[in-house]
Formats: sequence, structure tokens, C-alpha cells
Amino acid sequence: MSQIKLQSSDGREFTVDAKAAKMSETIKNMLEDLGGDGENAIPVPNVTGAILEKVIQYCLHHKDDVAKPEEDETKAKKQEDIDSWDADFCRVDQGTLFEMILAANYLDIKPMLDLTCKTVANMIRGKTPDEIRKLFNIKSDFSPEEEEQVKKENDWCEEK
Amino acid sequence: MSPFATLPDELVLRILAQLPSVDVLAVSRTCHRMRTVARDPTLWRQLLFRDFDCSALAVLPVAAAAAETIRHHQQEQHKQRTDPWIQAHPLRREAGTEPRRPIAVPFNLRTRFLMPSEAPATQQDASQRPIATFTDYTQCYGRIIPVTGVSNIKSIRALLTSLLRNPPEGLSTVLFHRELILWYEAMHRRYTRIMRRLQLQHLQCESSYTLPDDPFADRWQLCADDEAMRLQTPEVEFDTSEDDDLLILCLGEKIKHEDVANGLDTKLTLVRGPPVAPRPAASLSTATLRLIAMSGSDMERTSSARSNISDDASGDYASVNDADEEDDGEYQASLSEDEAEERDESDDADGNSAENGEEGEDDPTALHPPSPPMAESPLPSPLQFSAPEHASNHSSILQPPNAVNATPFAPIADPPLPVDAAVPWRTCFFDRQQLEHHWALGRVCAHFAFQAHVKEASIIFLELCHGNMRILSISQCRNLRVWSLETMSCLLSLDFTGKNRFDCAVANDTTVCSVDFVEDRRATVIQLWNAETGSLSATLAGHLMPVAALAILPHAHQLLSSDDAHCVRLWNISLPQAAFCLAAVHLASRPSLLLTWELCLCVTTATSSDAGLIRLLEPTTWLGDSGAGDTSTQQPSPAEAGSAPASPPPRTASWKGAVSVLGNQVYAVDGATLHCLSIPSCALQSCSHSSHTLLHEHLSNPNLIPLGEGQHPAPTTVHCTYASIQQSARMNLPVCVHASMEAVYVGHADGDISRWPLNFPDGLDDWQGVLRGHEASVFALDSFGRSRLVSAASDFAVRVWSLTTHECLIVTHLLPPLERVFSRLNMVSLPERVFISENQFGVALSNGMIKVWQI
Repeated sequence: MSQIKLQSSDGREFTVDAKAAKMSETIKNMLEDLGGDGENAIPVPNVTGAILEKVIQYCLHHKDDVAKPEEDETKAKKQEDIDSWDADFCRVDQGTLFEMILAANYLDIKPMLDLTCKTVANMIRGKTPDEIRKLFNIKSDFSPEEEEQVKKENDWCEEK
Repeated sequence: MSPFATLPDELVLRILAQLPSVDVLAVSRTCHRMRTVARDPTLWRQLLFRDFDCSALAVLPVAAAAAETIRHHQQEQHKQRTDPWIQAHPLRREAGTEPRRPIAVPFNLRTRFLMPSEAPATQQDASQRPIATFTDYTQCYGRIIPVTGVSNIKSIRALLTSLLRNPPEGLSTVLFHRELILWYEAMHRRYTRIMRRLQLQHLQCESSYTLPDDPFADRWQLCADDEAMRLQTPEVEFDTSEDDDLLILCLGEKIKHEDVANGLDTKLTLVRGPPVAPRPAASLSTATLRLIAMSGSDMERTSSARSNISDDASGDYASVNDADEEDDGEYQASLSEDEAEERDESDDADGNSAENGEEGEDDPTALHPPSPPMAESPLPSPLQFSAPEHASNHSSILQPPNAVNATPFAPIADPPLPVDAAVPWRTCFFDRQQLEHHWALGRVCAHFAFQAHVKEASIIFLELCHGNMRILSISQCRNLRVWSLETMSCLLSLDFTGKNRFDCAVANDTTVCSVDFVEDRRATVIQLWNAETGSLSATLAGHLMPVAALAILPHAHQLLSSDDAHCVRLWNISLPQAAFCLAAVHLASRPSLLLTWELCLCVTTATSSDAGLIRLLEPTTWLGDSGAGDTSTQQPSPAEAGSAPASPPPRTASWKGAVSVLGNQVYAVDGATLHCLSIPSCALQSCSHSSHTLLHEHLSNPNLIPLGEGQHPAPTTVHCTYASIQQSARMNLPVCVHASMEAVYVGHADGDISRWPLNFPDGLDDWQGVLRGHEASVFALDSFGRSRLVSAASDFAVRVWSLTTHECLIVTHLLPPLERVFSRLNMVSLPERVFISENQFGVALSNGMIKVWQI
């Protein structure tokens, strides 16, 4: 079985290389459980077609990656290690990016989840709270007093 | 609605975990939700481990539970680093050759006790024949009740007291491991009373407990109330009458290799009585008390006893399982036990027998809820004595009456652990951040100098102890002092009787070993002192010539001594009163310095002799069954010293210069050559600037490695630029060596400190960098984890270096300039030893002063 079919939540069907699809733990488990026969499409209910397309694109590109040895949790993960293909891959609008995170999480594709989270982290890096609010369109629900308090808390934390 | 806000917390945390702490704080200031999310302790735990060096045990700003986690983490990292090294060694790779077992895994009762053993498969039909024959205690049909938090004598006393208060009913027999009792004696000298109380009140172990005359004749003592119980060595039979419980109490770390080895060889046979064994709840933390109770048939009764105990514990329940996800060795071991168990299951209606933590964790009936009780009781009792969960309502805890020394359960497994909730990781992080910042700025907030010992005597032994909170110093003038680094007060001062000065001394928890300086020469006898009372425990006679050096094997309760007559002796000092010489070896040249470390291997250097040799003596070989034990005698006699050289020829390498040890490697510097000796595999790697090659050279020791022909691995080329060390040499003799987690540091006579990074598993990497600043010979080095190094030199400066940036963070001069010259000329108040911990560093001077700087 080299090809399998995936069906997105909006009914689109994708035929994918099995190896690529199996980068997703979720799909892998499904295949094992259902013994997918390549005929029936595997439903991926939480992911829309557009996002699934991106996911498949990622999987196809990375399917031959050597499995990295489990990274030491504590090791500082370098931010610069996003390669150019991945960077391009993540050059999407915010909505798509977050959908991709959710999809990667749902489908349990760890490298993709790491990549997308890293991308978001890089967006946040070095910004002030105001800039972050603007970036993500977050509305501050702090009252001025609260704001002052939170700031104070953090000042204490950042004390040099 | 912002798409960011729609992400579940879990994913937000994942993103935040990628950010520097400053940005995390910025995010937390955006809105309420982010603020809540960003306070998640697991996140901060992750950041703490990511941003800071937790490789050395960090106690101070970190809560106890965090410290425990970090300690575990540190162990894991050490294992990770050394395992590949060991695995990658040529000797291990040779197919078909059984790799020699590591000489001594740092002793661990747990792994020993849980060793897989051949389970009797033919037990299905038996009624009157042995139910089980076991060579380890997990296979006995009994409850194993782990008790965590037993880290000191108080806890043990609390445990015993609680046992007395609420004796498990039906428990009639107590089996104490000798070591526990004796250790207890050493610590408190009150064991007899405790024992008597145990006897009188509930446990009915009348008169069976006596101290053997020969402490090594019987490894185990049995206290029984009827003759049906017999414990002998090596073949032991238990004939338990039906209602009997057997309680085996032993203390993890205090049991030595041989003892446990012998204990394991001891075959215990449970003859009668249906097995009743609820699952033991996995394993313990480092210093733990393990109770193994073998219960008789009377489940009901036992249960009621248990519940009595529970009442006392009154809901302060904490499961041991949480703490116990550790030690893969154990897991492996337990796997095979599972098999054994399955085989036994048919005649084992209760589905019991020894089990392990894995099952306990998976067990849906396990009593502990997913969110551990830790969260509810932030300061759990120090001593959790819980019966393992069993489907049949076995639930109990023995709550010690006096909760002292709160040590919460160690959250040990990988993050995220629910136990973490109790740890203020966020605070830990910020404390740590602040501390690091202060280090980086060299901001010394306090400076203490105290005359630790009299002016005329130098400090011959200085060690951080008690979680780096205290320092122990011994001076030449026969006195030992323990200083609290928090209050800078003297906690303990012991004067050892006698009129002579000490020439050298070493100490461990319980014993101080010293050599006197009598009439211009060193004594030939070694004195052992009780480190608590200062009384003389024993005198070790055996050396014919003055004793030159001492070293203690940290975990083995063994002492190594050498004398001017080229004789090295190994003593067993686990029982100071009954210490004896295990082995003696005669060397070709005079040893001058002894080093030991965890893996029970000793190095003696003979730098003063013309041969310039370093010899490696391996106690385990001396004591091994390969016939090498011939040299050991129960009592040292003068005649022995004249006997033929010991049978295992010490492994020898032509080293000259300074030596240091790290884990299972020895590093030695000899001019431009750095040698590394990997202990478990007994190979020498030396890097020489002339050949630029790394030579693997098996040291010939027929007793150790049966080396066939053609098994010598070819020399491997490495990219070494060791010539550089000579370039900068300028008569640059190495003076001292310190091996830290990641690199070997060599202090030179001209004040340079060179750095030799370690690269597991490939060995030593390129020589890299010089820490330059000292103007004179570097005398002492010490490091904290992989972040800081402290050095003291004869220019009377103490410098702290950052190991990440290799900058000098702090320079302190011990003396004003003029005095420096004077002192240097007269060689007075020179720095002799240094130490560094998480938030302080200090130096001991040759005039008995100790100076401590706090950050």
C-alpha cells in the first residue's frame, strides 16, 4: 500500500504517499487500527482541505527526513534552525498558520508542530506587550490598575 | 477574535516554551488569559532547564522538590553523557566478546534488589513444597512497602516510632539488615533501645537479635518469635506459620556491594503459607528505606491493620508511585519479573507477587488520583510510608508523628509531571535568573572570612556537604569543623584526642580517617574517628612505613592508604570498630597521592618518584572471585607487608603530572600530553602533540580483560592540536587538574588555565582556549556544573570564570599588594583549596582561614 486517501472535513480527497501520511501519528494509528485498504478514504474531520493540503505538502517534503533522536528537553532549542523551505512554507497569513498548528497538533506531526510553533514564537520575539496585542489582535482586558499590577509583577521578575 | 486566542492552552504553552523569558513575560501582559497561561509551572520548569545550567545540584533558591527533580535530571544527564562513551568503546564493540561488566555501577540497592532472576516455572501443582524460591526480595510473596523521604536519622527514627505506634498487625518478625542497624548505631547509638522497644511492644522479636562477634559471618540477622523462622546463609529457609508477616528493613545506600551480593546469593525459600503480595509501589529515591513485608495468609487481618494505619495518616495520603518513575534498570528488571509473575499466577490466586511501579501506574484502581495529593498538601510529610495499592483495599500510610525535614516526593519523570504543580517553578526560575545575573555582574553581596582553624595549621581537608549548605574542614591541629554556609557559624567542632598534628585526613559521613605526624615523621597507623563524637573508633595497623596518603571510596566505605614502603592497602571501614584490611598491593615506586571516585577505582600517583608512574588499583579486582582476593586477609599482620607482591599487577601508565578523575575517566596531564583513562573498559587514550593521534592502548591486566590476539584496536586519529599547549607553555607545567562535567581544566604554573572539552563519546576534543588572568601558579580549581569555575593561585587572587563565555567574572585579591609579596616569599597564607557552589565560592588558606563570598 503505497498510496492512501485522506478526506478533509470539507469533503476534499487527497491521495498521498503512505510514508508521508504516516508522519502523522494519528493517521498511522488509524491505518493500523482500521487496516486501511487504500480504497476508502480516511476521514480527517478536524482539518479543512486547504490546511490538509499544506500538511500534505509538508509531509511530502519531509517524509524522508531521518528521524531525529529525541531532543533533550532542556537543551536550548535554537531558533535559527528553520531552513529556508520551512520558512517559506510558514509564510502564510496568521489564520492559516494557527490552523496549521491545530492541524499538526491534531494529526500529531511533531516536527511540523515544532516548526509552526517556532514560527509564531519568532513573530513574538522581542516585541512589547502592545506590539504583541497588535500583532495578534488581542484586546487587553486589563483594567488600568491591573495593568499596573501585572507590570509590577514582571518588573520584579525582570529585576536586574 | 484573534486566532492566537483560539489556540488551546497547551499549544500556547508550546509556543511560549520557544521564547526567552522576557518575551514570555511580555505575552503575559497582553491579556488575562495569557497571564494565566504564562504562569503555568510546567512552562517555567521547562524554561529553567532550558536557560540555566542545572547540571550541578542547585539547592538554594529552588524549592526542595525542584532540587530533587534537578538532582534526578543531573543523574540522567550524567548517564547520557557517559553511556555512549562506554558503549562506544572498542572493547564493547567486539562481537562475541562478552563485555566486561562495569566494575561497579554506583551502588544502588534498588537495582540489585530488583534484578531479574530465574523464576521457578515449575510451581503449578505444589502444595507443600516451596511456593517460591527467590534470590531477590521482590519475588518473595510479600508486600514491599517503600518509604520515601528517609534521608536522615530523624526520619528513620520517625519511621521506627510510627512502626511502634501502629504496628502492622500480624507482623511478628523483623528482619533487619545489619547495615541499617549499625549505621543507626553509628549515627545515634540508640539502636539498642529502639530494638528493645520493638521487641517488647509489638514485634516479639525476642532475644534473637544479637550482634555477631564476627561482623562478616552473618550478613543478615533475623529476629523471630518462633523457631519456625530460620535465616541462615547461604541457604535460607523460611517456614512461615500462617499468620506471620516478615518485615525486612534495610537502608538503601548504606549497604555495601559485598553485602548485597551475598544477600542476593542467599537463597530464601518460603516454605509455607499462601502468598499474599500486593504490588509494591515501584522504587525509591536515593536514600530510602525499604520495607519488605511478607504477609501470611490472613489478608483480612492485615488489611485491618493497614487501615488502622491509614486512620492515623488521616488523609495525608500520598502515593509513592508518582515519585518513582525512574531508573530504567529497574524497569528492565521488572519486566522479567512480570513474566515470572505470570507463570506463578495460577497458584497465586491473589494475582500478587512482586510487581513494579509500571503496573502500579497503569492500574486504574490505583489509589492515587491523577492529580497527585501533593497539590493539596504542599508540604507533604517527610516520611511517606504507604502500603502499596492493591485491588483489595490495601491502602495505608504510616504517618510519622513528627514531621521533620519536609522532603516532598520527587517529581522525577519527564515533564509534564502533575507533581510539578506543587513546585513553584516560576519563582525558581526568577530566583535563578537573578542569581545568574549577579554572577554575571560579579556582584558579591556578602563576604565572610573566618579563622576556621588555628593560624598555625593548614586545612588539610575541605569539602562541601549537606547539599552544598555546609563545609567540612579538618585542620592539621586535630580538629574537624562543620560550618554552615547560611549562618557562617560553626555547627560542629570536634577535637580528636592526641598530641600530634595530623598529617593527612579524609572524611565521609560517619568516619574521619587520619594519620598523625609523630616526631618528624608520619605515623604508620591510621586512626579512625567517629565523626559525630570525635572519639577514636579504631586504629588500623598494618603499614610498616609511614603512611603517605589516604583516600576514601565514596560509596563503598572503603579506605585506601599508601605508605613510603610502596605499599597500598585497602581497608573496609564500614564498621570502624571492626575495620580490616581487604587487600594490600606493593608497588614498584612510592605512591604519593591517592585519588578515588565513585566507581571504586583508585589512582595512585608517584610523581615524586623517578618512575613518574600512575597506577590504577581496582579494589573490585582485589576482591573479585578471580583469585585476586588472595591478597586480602582478615587481619593485617606485620608479616603480610613482607609478602610477595599482590597478584593483580596494578595497571600502569607512564604518566607524570597532575591527575583528575571524572565519572569513570581519569585525566592526567603530562607536559603536552593529555591522557584519558576510561575505567570500565580499561583503555588508555592519550593525546600527544607529537603524533596528533589518539591511541587506544589496552593496559595489560590479565585478571581484568581476557585480551585475545588482534583485539587491540587500531589507533584512531583525532584532530588534536595539542601542540598549542606547548606553544603557550613557556615552562608551563601543569599544577592542578580539575575535571568538570564538560571539560578538563588544567591549571598551569604560569597562571594559565587551559580548557580541554570533553566530547562524548569520542573522547577529548580539541584543546580549546586558555583562561588567562592569574599571574602565578594556579593551585586549586573547582567548578559548579557547567557554568562556573573558580581558581586560586599563588598570586593570592581567587578568580571566578564563566564557563559559557570564558570571561573572568570575579577577581578577588586575598591580600593587599605589599603583603602579597611578603606572603609569597614566605609561602604563608597561600590558597590551598577552593570550592564553588550555586551562590557562593570560597577558599581555604594555609593559615587556617576560610573565606567565603556570597553572590
